[in-house]
Amino acid sequence: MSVGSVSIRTRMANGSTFVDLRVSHPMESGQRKDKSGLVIPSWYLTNMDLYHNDKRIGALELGPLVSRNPAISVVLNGGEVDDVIKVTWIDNRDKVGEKSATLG
Amino acid sequence: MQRRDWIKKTSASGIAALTSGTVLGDAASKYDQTVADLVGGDKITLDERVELLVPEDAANGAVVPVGVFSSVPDTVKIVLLVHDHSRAKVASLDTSNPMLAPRFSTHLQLIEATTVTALVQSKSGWFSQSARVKTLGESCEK
Repeated sequence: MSVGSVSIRTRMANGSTFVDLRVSHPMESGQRKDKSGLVIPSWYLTNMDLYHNDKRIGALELGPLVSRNPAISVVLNGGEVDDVIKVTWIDNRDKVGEKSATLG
Repeated sequence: MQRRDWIKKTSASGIAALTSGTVLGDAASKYDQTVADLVGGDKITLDERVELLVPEDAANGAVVPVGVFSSVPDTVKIVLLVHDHSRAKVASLDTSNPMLAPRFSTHLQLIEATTVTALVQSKSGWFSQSARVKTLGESCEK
């Protein structure tokens, strides 16, 4: 997976929709050093927004203590087959991305 | 003073300063400051309706699973914090939209023996739950 690529897995059960997100991202804190002793610059996701049928339903703020290639799980109250879940992200280098998935 | 004695003395005082003074003191004040910025002067109540799921011993400090579930009515925000670290705020989730359940999980990069706190904001105030995590393997640096 390239940096910023997102995978979305969903499953519906008991009136809820379980959404598992995984973003390919280094999540560098800016506090580690490479083999030559140089500080590895920070590079981490700062915000993710979650949409249900194009309506924003949640906002997630992230910091550099979240693990590399973060896996994030949230739960929606409701959800129907063919509903569209979308996630957008931005990192501290102002790179952005998004991904959608259809419930089914 | 002999060179050997001087080295022993300065090494000991340096280690003492690192472990009990400046570094940990700064991290602790970062946590306090972050909480103060979040809640202002509001009271935070320890509440069992905030469930914080973290392992007591994490085999790999680079990937420590953490989950938060709030059954506090009208939860509008969940914030994850760590103590003893230069950056206290780990993540937060705005759950004010009724479509989104007040729960989420992810993985953290933690230093050894860190306390994780989940802060929950509801229309009736702030609630919290904390847990100590000991990492047994690889972890991030402070």
